[in-house]
Amino acid sequence: MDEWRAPRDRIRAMHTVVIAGIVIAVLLPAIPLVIWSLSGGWWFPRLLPEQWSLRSWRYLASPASRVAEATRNSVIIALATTAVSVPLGVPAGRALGLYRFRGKRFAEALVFAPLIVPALAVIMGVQVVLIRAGISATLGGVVVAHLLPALPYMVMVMRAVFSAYDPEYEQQARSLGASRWETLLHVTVPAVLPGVVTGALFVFLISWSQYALTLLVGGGRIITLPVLLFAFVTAGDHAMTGAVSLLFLAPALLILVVSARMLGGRSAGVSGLEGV
Amino acid sequence: MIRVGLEDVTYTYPGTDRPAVDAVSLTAEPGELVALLGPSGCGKTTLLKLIAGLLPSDRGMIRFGDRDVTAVPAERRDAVMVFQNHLLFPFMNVSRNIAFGLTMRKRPSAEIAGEVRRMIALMRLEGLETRRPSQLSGGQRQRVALARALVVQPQVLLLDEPFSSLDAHLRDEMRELVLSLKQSLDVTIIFVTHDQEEAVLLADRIALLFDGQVQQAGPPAQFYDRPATRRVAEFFGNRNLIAGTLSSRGASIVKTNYGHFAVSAPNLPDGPVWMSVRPEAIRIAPGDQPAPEGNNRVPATVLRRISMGMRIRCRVALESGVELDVLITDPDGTHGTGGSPDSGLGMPAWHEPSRTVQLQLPPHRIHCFPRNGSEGLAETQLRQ
Repeated sequence: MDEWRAPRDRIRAMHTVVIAGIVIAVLLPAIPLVIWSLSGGWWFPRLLPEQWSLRSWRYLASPASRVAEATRNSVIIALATTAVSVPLGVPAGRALGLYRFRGKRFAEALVFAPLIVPALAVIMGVQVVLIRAGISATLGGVVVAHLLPALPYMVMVMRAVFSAYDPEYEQQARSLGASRWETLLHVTVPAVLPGVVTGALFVFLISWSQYALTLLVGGGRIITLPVLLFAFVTAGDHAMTGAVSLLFLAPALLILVVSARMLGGRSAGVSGLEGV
Repeated sequence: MIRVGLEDVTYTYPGTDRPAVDAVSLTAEPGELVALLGPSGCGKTTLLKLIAGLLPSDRGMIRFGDRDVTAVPAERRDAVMVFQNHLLFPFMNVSRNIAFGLTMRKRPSAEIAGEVRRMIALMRLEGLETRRPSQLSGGQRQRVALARALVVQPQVLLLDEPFSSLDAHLRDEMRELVLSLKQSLDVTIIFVTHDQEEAVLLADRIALLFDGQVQQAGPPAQFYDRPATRRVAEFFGNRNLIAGTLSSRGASIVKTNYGHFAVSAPNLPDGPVWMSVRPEAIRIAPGDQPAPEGNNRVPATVLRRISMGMRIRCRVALESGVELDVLITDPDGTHGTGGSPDSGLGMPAWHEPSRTVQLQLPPHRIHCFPRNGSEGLAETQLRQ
């Protein structure tokens, strides 16, 4: 049993770091945002606003603010990025985590390069391709751009999961009478599911928070929450900035709760997440 | 119950040059318990996976009874493998683990529940039905793994080092369980082990593998009395090997550096041979007394001795350096009771270290097997 311990601890440590990071990064700055969003006027050196107002929340709800459109775009793009990343990232992670093959180091370097090379550095080249393909300034084009920074995270999580996974479980299932598909469904999927969910949450959040890539590839026609938020920040509208920021933070908080439940509770896996 | 027949089965792992299983032919009779024995890396687990259908053989044929299963996938082979580290599905409780094979066979749930209950009773797992594998002890996990395999009533049960992860006490318990299962269930069992004692204890027949090849196959006693090669003899802890040359003009004689030995006619051509003789077959007497009756007498010097309760194991050296183990079953019987003051073991002094003794090797207890011409001579020279 000892051979399972090391990877499990590693994954658990990874989770703890991520959760702690999210708590500090998300919850603390959220407090002034709430105050901002409800302020009518708030100037230095006052500790609290002189006037309170619901103006920003009313404007947020009106079509003129384009918040509804931006939210819808953000959700669609993040979900689509996740939907593409999972089927690409799981087999890639399995290959890198389980198998030894010629050129593995090169493949790893290629897959993880976007973690080191800023996407902005290559996006102009990508943009040329997207324009040729006729999907620049479309939701699809933005999704392709978001895959650049998002996919490596999916592969990274799945590689960790599969490096702690024993493929003999699949042989055991076959020997007990399960077909290839039944083995996938009843053994492999339940074993790696917690890892897939973790990776998918990562990818969703990375896509959700993209600003520059969306702006460049979307050409100003694809409005997402970060794009809108930046507009309000540059306009100096603190109340709107606060309100949109809170909306922007909502899925992060939701994911924090979901993954905390997954970590605290009954999730288990051959992946080494058992008992985490 | 079913006969398992392997013919010329060969498998090479992709990316390697040497076959892991090399032209293995082997038969397990219906209801037999066959041990695949060998050091780690000898290909025994690979062979088990080939029989289970988890690896495709490159060459050869695997038969279950009259049925050629060589190309049949694992899930339709009617042979279930139990892996070394139990591999219970951690996201399922005990009952669902045991039910797995029946669930995959789409049996009605009432039947599954009944069969699972039966296995839980058989394996004495009552009260653990809803536990997770992580909440079980090592022995319980191994019993669940066995239950999960047996519930589908396979014709062939394949066990990969099933007891090696258990402590000594549990191991004995599990061995007895397997023996009783073999009697109560109609199943042919092939199991892999690196432990020669375990193979002897459990198996009806042993196949000893080195480097992917079967060195010798037969009932356990054969490996002690009639090893086929020097490696086989040494694997079974037989260190009593004497190099010589067989010549059968009239009587069978083996010529060695220590004289000529009469042997009972071996079914061998003349030429270089090893003589092997079990420690308990060698007769020993004090050096100052008349030698025991019979031919094949040779003087030796005691090097050291170990008391094994009622018996004493002596390491002795022949004049020219070859060392033999001798078992004294009646240490003080006819040879007086002169206890040695310094031994502290109450052992008579005549077989004390550095004493000279007389050995006699009964011809009918000497087993000869072929020797590679250069083998054995070099080390004799080294010892001298």
